[in-house]
Amino acid sequence: MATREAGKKMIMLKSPDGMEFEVEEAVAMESQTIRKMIEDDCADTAILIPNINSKILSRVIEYCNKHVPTTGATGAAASDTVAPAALAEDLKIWDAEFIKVNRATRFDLIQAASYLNIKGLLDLTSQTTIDTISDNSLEEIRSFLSTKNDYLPEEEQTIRRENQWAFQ
Amino acid sequence: MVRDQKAMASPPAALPEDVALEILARVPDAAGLFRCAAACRRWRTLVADPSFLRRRWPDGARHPSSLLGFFGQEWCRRPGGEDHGDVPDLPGFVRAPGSVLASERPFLGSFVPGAAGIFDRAVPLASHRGLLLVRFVPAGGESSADVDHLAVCNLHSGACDVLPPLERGWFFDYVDASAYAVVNQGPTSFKVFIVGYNNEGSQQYDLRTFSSGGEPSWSAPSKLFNPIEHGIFGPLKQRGAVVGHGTVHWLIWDLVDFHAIDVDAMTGRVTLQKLPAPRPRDMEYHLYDTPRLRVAADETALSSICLFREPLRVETWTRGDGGEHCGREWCRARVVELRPPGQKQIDTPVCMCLGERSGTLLIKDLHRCMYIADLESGAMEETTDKQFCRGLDGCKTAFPVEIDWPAFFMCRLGGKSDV
Repeated sequence: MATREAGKKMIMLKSPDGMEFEVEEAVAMESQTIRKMIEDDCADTAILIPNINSKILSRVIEYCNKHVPTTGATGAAASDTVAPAALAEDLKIWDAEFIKVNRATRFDLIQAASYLNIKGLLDLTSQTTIDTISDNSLEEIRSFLSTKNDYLPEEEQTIRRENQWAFQ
Repeated sequence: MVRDQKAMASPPAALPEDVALEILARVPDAAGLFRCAAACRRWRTLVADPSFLRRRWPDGARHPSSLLGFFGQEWCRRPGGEDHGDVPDLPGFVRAPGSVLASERPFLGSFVPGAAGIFDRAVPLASHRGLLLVRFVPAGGESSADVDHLAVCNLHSGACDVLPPLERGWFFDYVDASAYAVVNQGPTSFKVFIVGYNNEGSQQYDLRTFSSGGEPSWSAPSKLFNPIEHGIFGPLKQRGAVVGHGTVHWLIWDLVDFHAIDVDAMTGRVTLQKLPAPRPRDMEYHLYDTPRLRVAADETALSSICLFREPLRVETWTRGDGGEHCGREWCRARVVELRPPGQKQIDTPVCMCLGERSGTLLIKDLHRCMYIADLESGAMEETTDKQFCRGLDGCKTAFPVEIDWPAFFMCRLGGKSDV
């Protein structure tokens, strides 16, 4: 339900497990998916966010709250007094703290960021995985991604033999 | 709105498909992406998907990661001084800065397992869509100066076809006057063209061809064109052809103007056309370097790319596609000012080669410093890698080895599990 509070437009987000989150419209619009819904006028009442449980949704909202650009009009005190570089540094430290979660949560966050189309969150959450893929051997990639090797031994051998460039 | 039924249904341990795709699209290094595809069948299917690969390497954009490295060509002078003539010099492969090939990774041998060591003793002559025509010295070193050993290597599939030995005779009397082309005509089909100047008989350029799938032999020499009829007396430049739309293009210089030679790969029909740039007056002041022909990755149009020295810039001239509006006129499509690193003065730069997919020029100056220039932005970067500079030092030109990653991934991973 859209309400007004101290001049800010509020949006209601609902998770499939029945929790409701009231957030500023500007914060919700960090998500390109939600932005599109609001712009297309499909967001009169509460927006149901499928597949994202309340635990993950609350973390996403926490991220968006932190990353929403602060402007003078909304009365954010920090933007006038703190230099942009310091602000960026502060965000980086905050991000590093934010991403200290277990693997399952990180994958849930990637999925949420992907669905909600929040580029910054997607970059942040997928980076560790990408680093692991770039720097590690096949076995380490498998164990990290919890994928099971379903190639026949001879198939895998052929792939490796014919593509040494990728495995050394 | 609910589009992830499938993802919800899969066991919690498996990564949902959209998450996996987000991650895969961000893996910066092709080797890392390849390892992901080798992790399990599901990831392989995700990677070897044309729409995913297009997202990762969009059509029409330049992809620096395509550039694997260079072969040096045309020694300025031989290290030993004496030219013994019987064994061709074999400048080795030099990997490009930032290449997917790490320094400890062997080069083409590991891309073309079918070549079984040929690459240790080979030089590239021409390329087209993943095919590389190479001249090699047979194992054991039992080579004769009268016979040419050629092979066509497929960087995408890893296959290698050794062609029947080619008797040179008068045809290769003067090897440096010959030009080459390989045309990729389908998954396993190709055609090779060799142009040689007949010094003894007809005094014309003759053509010999080899087609895969047919008779395993070279065609008899046939007339390509007679320079007297065209009033063009001069050497063939850019001897590895560029290919577009079934037409093979070489460059010939009559000591004043440059001309594009077009040869229809099917019919052998030849047409010559003068390039608009550089103009003869530019030559008087040595303001330019030899132009290079280029066919865009989508094979739509032929361009000529020329480095001018004052001011330092690259001009791209593109030829009309023969359509109603512009016919086959050349027009100047683009001028990019080159920006040397740190405002450095570059003394007499020459372009060693042009990398089509990566959109780069390899440039050498009078003091043998080497630069890689970005054709899009004009930014030049000096290469300080000692191995790189030493590997190409002493060569006039270079041959870039580039890979079309989407085609490569489709070819290696797109098939069924027996690939």
